[in-house]
Amino acid sequence: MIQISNLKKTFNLSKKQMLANEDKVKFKTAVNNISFKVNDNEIFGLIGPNGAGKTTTLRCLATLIEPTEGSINVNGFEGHSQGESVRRELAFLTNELKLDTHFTPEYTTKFFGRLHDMPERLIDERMNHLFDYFGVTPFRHTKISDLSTGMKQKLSIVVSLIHNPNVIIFDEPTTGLDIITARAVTDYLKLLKNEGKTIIISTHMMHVAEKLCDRIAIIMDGDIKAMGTLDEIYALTGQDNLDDSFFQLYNNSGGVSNV
Amino acid sequence: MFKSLMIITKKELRRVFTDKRLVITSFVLPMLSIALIYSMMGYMIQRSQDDIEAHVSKVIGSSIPIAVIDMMDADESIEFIPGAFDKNTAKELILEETYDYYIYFDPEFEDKLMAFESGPLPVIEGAYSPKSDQSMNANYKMRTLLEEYRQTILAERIGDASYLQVYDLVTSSIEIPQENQGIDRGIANLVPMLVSIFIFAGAMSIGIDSIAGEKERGTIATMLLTPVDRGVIIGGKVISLSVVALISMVSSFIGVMISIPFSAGFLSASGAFEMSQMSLGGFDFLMFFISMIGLVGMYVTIISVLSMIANSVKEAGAYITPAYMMVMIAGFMNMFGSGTVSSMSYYIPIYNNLVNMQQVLLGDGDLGRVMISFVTSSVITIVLLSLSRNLMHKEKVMFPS
Ligand SMILES: Nc1ncnc2c1ncn2[C@@H]1O[C@H](COP(=O)(O)OP(=O)(O)OP(=O)(O)O)[C@@H](O)[C@H]1O
Ligand SMILES: [Mg+2]
Repeated sequence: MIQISNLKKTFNLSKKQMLANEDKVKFKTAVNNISFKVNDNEIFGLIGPNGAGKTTTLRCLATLIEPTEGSINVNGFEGHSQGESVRRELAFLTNELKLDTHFTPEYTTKFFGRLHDMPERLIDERMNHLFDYFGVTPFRHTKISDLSTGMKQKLSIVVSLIHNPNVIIFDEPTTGLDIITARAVTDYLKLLKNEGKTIIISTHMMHVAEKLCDRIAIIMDGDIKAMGTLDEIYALTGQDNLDDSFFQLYNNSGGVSNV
Repeated sequence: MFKSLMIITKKELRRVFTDKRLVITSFVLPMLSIALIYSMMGYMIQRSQDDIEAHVSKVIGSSIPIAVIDMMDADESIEFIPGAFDKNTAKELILEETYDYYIYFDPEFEDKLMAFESGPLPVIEGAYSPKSDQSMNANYKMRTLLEEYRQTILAERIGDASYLQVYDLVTSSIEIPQENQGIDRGIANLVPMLVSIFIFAGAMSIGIDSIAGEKERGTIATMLLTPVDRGVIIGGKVISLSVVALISMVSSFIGVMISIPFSAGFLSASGAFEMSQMSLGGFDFLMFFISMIGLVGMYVTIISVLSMIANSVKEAGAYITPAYMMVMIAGFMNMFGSGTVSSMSYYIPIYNNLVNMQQVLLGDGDLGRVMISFVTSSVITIVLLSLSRNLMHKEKVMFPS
């Protein structure tokens, strides 16, 4: 279970970043005031335009960066102060996190299994299962630099899941993947959900969210504009699909979004 | 085609000249560093030259003809110290650098000189210490002086041009006692600088890649997701870098040693050093390695901290270049240093290790001084290590955007 309350994240901008924005302010509030809860056995979707604050929210959740205000609780562990325990609970995937392309899938996966303190036998077991599921097995001894984009992404998913975490946070997991690979990923997420895992994904692909998520939060400019099941969101916006609901909310909020 | 060529050329030049960092690293820094290093070198060489020239050579000897004593007195750069010294005491005093040169004339020198038409040539012996620049310089001055002396004698023998030979001059470098013989002076001056530069260069290329490179490529962030403490991650990197630096340290040291049979001709001060003449014991090597390890610790942590602050490999290169220059300057200062080392030097980081290495090689290593330098280096290493650990927790450092 994940509980986020009044999360706020403000970045101090470097001189260069400061000069790059028009109003020359020293701070950038990427996430303003966000609260939501994700249950076990649930896939929760964060939907928002570029620069809405999705990745920032998820980075705070993964303890990579520290929230400016608010609290985060993951399966009973307090966000940053119990970072080590939180990280044991979760898998985090985002496109800025990369694997060293010098090594092979097998070595890389084992390396991360070991950092998670897993016994060798368990690592092998998990690795073989995940490699088989995602079709990495034939490439287990190929240098990562020689893998296709899709295969690299699948390997990243394998590595993030090696320790069989209870909480799965995937930031745009299907971006850049062809529909076959994308389907393999979404299918696996459904499988994990049915195992009772807590799952958050972020995406700007409405059809992915519609098909996959039990509940959705639409986030713009660092705030949640609407949250609930698909039906609840349709009811709120008076639309019958996520695309139109999204634009309805976007226009209502004045159409501003910081990119 | 020509138009496209121009468009591409312009874009490339624009790329370079609008990137402040590239301009600095490719144009400004090389210019400054070459200017700085060459001036430093020139200055240091000049200074040690001046030191040697300004030094008044102290000469001792026995049975010296009055004429030669007069010539020495007339030369302001030579001071003759009268006294009776037997050969062995004299040589010891020269090794201790109390005096610079010992000259010994055949007791029957003047008689033999007079009897030049019949008897054997009289002998002059000179002795200097190959460990001292001052002594070697005194040797050079005395040769010149004796040559002048020969000319005056020849002038007295006008008409007897067939007797051009006046005396036999035998100069020898003093045998240095086994326990502090060390290695040739020229080699001892050069090796610390070379080893130091190789250690830095070896750790630099790999350190930049493993820290700034991993940051740039996003692979270090993946590790931050594991339960492992961030300090442990940087710790592992520093240890592996140290191993790399230790290997390049050992290999560069071995490289220098292997080259001695071939390089001694131009490296060695006497021009004739052979490996068999080297007499460094296990304890000397231990002191040498302690000094090198001090360097390794500092270099690795300096490189780590600078690579962490940088957001890209390119940036790291720009930050580390000045540090590299400092390392080179410390090396040159040591190489061309005038030999006299003030006690303060043992507290100057980096330089102190170099001085110790040099002295160990000369057979004058001192464990106390080696340890002072080692402790100084360790303190700096630990400070930089904890700094890099703190940087790991800094959001601006780890996730600049
Ligand atoms: N380290 C940082 N320093 C300064 N500003 C930042 C930093 N990280 C993010 N931002 C800013 O915060 C805002 C939110 O960024 P974030 O990456 O969370 O958006 P996002 O919703 O993930 O967008 P996208 O769909 O493009 O990935 C953006 O305006 C971004 O420029
Ligand atoms: Mg994002």
